[in-house]
Amino acid sequence: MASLSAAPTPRTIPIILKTRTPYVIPAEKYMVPTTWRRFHLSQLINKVLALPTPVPFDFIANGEMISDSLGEWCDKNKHGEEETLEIEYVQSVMPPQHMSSLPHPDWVSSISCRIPGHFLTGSYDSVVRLYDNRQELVHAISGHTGPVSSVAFVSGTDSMLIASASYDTTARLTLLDEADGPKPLASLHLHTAAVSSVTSNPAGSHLLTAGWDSLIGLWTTDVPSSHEIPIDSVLLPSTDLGPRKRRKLASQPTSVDDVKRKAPSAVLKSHTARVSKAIWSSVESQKEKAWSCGWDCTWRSWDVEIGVCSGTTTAPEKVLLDMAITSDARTLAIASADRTVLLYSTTASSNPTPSHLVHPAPPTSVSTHPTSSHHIISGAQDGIVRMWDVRSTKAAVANFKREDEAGNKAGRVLAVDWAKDELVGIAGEKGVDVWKCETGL
Amino acid sequence: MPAAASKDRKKRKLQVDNVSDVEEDLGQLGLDMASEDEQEGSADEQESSDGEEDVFPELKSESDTDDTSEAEDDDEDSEEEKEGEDDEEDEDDEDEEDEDERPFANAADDATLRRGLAPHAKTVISDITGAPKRVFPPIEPDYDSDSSTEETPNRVGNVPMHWYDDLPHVGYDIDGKKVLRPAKGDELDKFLSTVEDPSAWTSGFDKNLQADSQLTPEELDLIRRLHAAEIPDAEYDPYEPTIEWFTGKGKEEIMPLSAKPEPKRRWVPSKWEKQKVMKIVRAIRQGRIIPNKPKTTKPQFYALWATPSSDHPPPLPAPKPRLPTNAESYNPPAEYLPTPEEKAQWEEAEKEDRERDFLPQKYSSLRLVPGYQNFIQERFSRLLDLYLAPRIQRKRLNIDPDSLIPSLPSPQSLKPFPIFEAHRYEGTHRARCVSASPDGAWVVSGDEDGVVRVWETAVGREAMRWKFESKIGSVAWCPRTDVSFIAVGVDEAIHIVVPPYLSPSLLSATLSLLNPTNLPPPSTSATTLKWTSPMSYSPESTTPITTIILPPSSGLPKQLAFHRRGDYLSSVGSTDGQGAIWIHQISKRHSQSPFKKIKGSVQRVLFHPVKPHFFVATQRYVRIYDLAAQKLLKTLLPGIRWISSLDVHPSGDHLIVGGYDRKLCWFDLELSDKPYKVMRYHSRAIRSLHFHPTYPLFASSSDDGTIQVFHARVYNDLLTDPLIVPLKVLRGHHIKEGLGVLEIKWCTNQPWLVSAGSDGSLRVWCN
Repeated sequence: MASLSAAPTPRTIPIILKTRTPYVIPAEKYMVPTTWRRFHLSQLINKVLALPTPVPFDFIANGEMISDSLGEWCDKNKHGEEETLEIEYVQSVMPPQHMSSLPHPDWVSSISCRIPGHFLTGSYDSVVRLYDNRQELVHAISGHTGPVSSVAFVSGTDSMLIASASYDTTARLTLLDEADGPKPLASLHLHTAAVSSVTSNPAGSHLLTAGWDSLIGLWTTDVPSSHEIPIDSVLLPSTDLGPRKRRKLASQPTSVDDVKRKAPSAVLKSHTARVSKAIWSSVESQKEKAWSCGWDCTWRSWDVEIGVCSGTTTAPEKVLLDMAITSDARTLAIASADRTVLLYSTTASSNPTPSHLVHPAPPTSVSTHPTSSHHIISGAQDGIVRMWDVRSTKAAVANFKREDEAGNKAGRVLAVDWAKDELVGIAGEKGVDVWKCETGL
Repeated sequence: MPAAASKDRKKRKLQVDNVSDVEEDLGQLGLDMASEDEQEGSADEQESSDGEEDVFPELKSESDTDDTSEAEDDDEDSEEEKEGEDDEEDEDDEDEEDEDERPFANAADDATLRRGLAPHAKTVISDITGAPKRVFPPIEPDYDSDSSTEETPNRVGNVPMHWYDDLPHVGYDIDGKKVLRPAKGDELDKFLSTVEDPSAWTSGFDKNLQADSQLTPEELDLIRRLHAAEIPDAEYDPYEPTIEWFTGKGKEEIMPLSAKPEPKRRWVPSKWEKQKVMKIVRAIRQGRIIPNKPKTTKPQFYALWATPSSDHPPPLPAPKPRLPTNAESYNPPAEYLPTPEEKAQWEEAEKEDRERDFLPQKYSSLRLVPGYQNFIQERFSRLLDLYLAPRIQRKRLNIDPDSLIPSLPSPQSLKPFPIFEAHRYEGTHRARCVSASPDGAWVVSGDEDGVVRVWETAVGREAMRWKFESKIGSVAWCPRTDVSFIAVGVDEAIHIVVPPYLSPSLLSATLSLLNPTNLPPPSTSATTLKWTSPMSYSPESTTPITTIILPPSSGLPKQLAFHRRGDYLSSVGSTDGQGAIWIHQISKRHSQSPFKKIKGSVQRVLFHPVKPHFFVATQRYVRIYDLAAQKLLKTLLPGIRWISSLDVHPSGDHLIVGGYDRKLCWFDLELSDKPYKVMRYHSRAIRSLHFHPTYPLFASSSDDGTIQVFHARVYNDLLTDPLIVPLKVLRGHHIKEGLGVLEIKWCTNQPWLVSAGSDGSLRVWCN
């Protein structure tokens, strides 16, 4: 007994635990030993809440995940042990697990996981492919004459309408029918250079295309009954003379006859250089809002209904490559070529200062969690996909890449998409990988 | 007693020398002999027999004793005894001679004086040591050493005799008995005695005895002689006759003196000498002695300043000091004296600023002039002159070395510029050349396998490739935006290819430009250059749409340079001569060679961005031609041994030239034909230079595998110099076969740099 009383009492630190998750505990000051780690704090919350099944939590202080003990964290951040430490806790992210691979013959430039149970990929061999959960190729849609740069799911449940953009300066609308197979409906003609992205609004009624010619096209998704664009401006010129030209035209019957050439309903002109992405707002309340980013180091917000640029924000000397918006439409994540992902608040003032997610290699694509407004993933040129929590911007929550059997270098990641069922599709140089990322929500 | 002694000696002499006697006529030989003879009388005369032999040794001993002793040393030892006797005899003779040297000696005291003399030392050569020694004659004890007491009974010595005036005695004899005062008569008796005694006047009072004593006849004679001024010595004959000792009959010298046989050593070679010679011979053999050793040449000294040296002018003569003026006088006229204002002014002025280093002062006389005040100071500065030290002691410049570094702005403030490698396209074999599309989206590269690839800049994917038969010399993307094509220089041809993914309108414009339906008539000039196009062309094919076939033996075009408007394309062949430079006009399908004759081998050409000027860089010079006026405008002298690259600033007023000798020259074309700035920072040859078209940047690549990025801001006003700030060294390319980064190009709208390296990789560097 004497020896026990003589033992030094462990040092303690006052903390206040807060959360934005449903697992709320009373906001009180807790005196916890400085030797406690994430596991102990997580146990504390579980005990306080008396959860039937243990839920792991992560703890964020000063925008940084606490990975080592509280005492070490205080030493590192020069936090006095007398001061009260405010800690936010979030549900832990499970380590991502590799689910499957979908091999492709060429680089895959884009992926969309918005169709439940399916993966829509656009490849550099100009083919749009649809895979289902069983890793089987459902459809292979050809029609583009250049590499597909972007694919998007538009609408539909049984017969799905998809849009694809390509380097051949067009975007296409294709109807995927289980029975009949893919049926190209329309080709969208506006851009004079490669189309870099096509996105549809959540309702599936409109499309936005962004092109290298600094234009953004706004389109409706209904198919016109007749061609809106004359054929002369569409056809590739050729020095071949008559017979061969006719023969060539005959070899592309669908593109000439069945696929209606569609003109944009509006053209959004404001960018001065290549537009790399144009996205719609993710919430229903601001369905007329859209954002775009480009190589002119700006991102712009658009009022689509009237077709004007409602705001321009310059990110100096940063070439913006991709953007995504969180599910609550409050945060924009923009991938920049100077090895950062910028997080902008859409509701902030006219010239907001972003927070940076620093990457070792230029990020090529960024995607947000379909429901959580805190989680984003980014794929980079070094082949590593990183998952971030916007509340903890100093380090990635998790990063993962596929180590193939031969130990080869992981190819570039060109596109990532986060499906609703917490599956992440990663498209890149080596095909498509599907990972499971559980955020606990 | 002296007589007996001398007699005894005489006997010994006779005995030893076998000398018989002296002849009568030779009796006056020497004074000594005569005196002795006189004393001894005729007793000696009987013994004398043969005079000749007797006299000779006497003389000899007197003149040269050393000879005798030496001669005796040579002789046998048996003569030792005789020699000793000779010595003894010599001593005696000498003694006698010493006696002769005192001619004024009293005859009565002769013996006494002689004995009282200090014994005369004789120098002889010792038998034992061989060194000369002094030999004194032995003291004969039978003689009284003190002659003064010999006959005088009174032994009181030299005391005043009046001490004894009242005493009955006048002293004591040797036995201590009183010597009684002799009877002394009164004056009358004395007078009577003088009257009666005829010899009284020849007597004198002996103070010692207190009595009169009679002078001897000899003494009287001496007095007489002295009185007569004659030679006092009666015996001396000043007119004695000459004695012929060695001349005359029978007196010849018959040599040798001894009849001894000649000793053996006279004719036997000396053993000692032989040893000594052999020692020298041995030394010569062993080289310790070098015979006929060449004389060491002594350094020749000469008067350094005697003759003026030929290679530089003679030293200037020292300046003549100025003659003193009136003001320097100690007593100058009043008009030279400074007024009080002048004086105050002089004192206020700094030492260096003063017109004169003195103030005229007036003294009424020279002795009132005080000492020179600045004497110590003057002396010190003269010493400084001697030390060759400067008189003026300047303060050492205290410069902070950091202040010498030009204050360049921080690179952080000059963003953006490329800082990291964003993409790398591997898989080509020594990427030779690279070019970027005008919008920066695509990059074209050519390698030595003959493959031309088009890459997507942002993604790094190869979009298209063409394969040509020879290696690619250069590629150039046409800067036009309404059409899009790439010129590829291969061996003796320039191919023009169309990049992929063009919009229909752009493609049709390109095709109509490059492959028009109605070809212009082939040029009628005699050039062997030909423009060809395939009859049928499809955009999907990987064949060139147009080919310019250069004249044969024009080689690989090592450079293709587009004019800013994109219509003119200049090519530089790898061979020299007239066909090195061609200017092709794309729209008219026409080519011309602008120069009839080109001096030197052309390295690079360049179109001026705004003016119709044309830069031609040969191996050493850069010439600027006016193409419209067709004349040479300027020749720039970069001072580079071999120019490798050049580029012109987008404003057209500045030119950078890089060389294989690692130098980079910046020319301000408005300023001079000499470089404004020469920089050397690469460790190997510079390969490529490029100005960014829109950003104030330029970059240079080198064989050391690095790319260096500079900020280069030029100003519109002519007064401000261009600002050149080194920003970043981009490393990453490997050096392969001694080659590093072969070509760099900027993307037009972004601060991105594309580089082609000999390691086969193509890299994009982003900000």
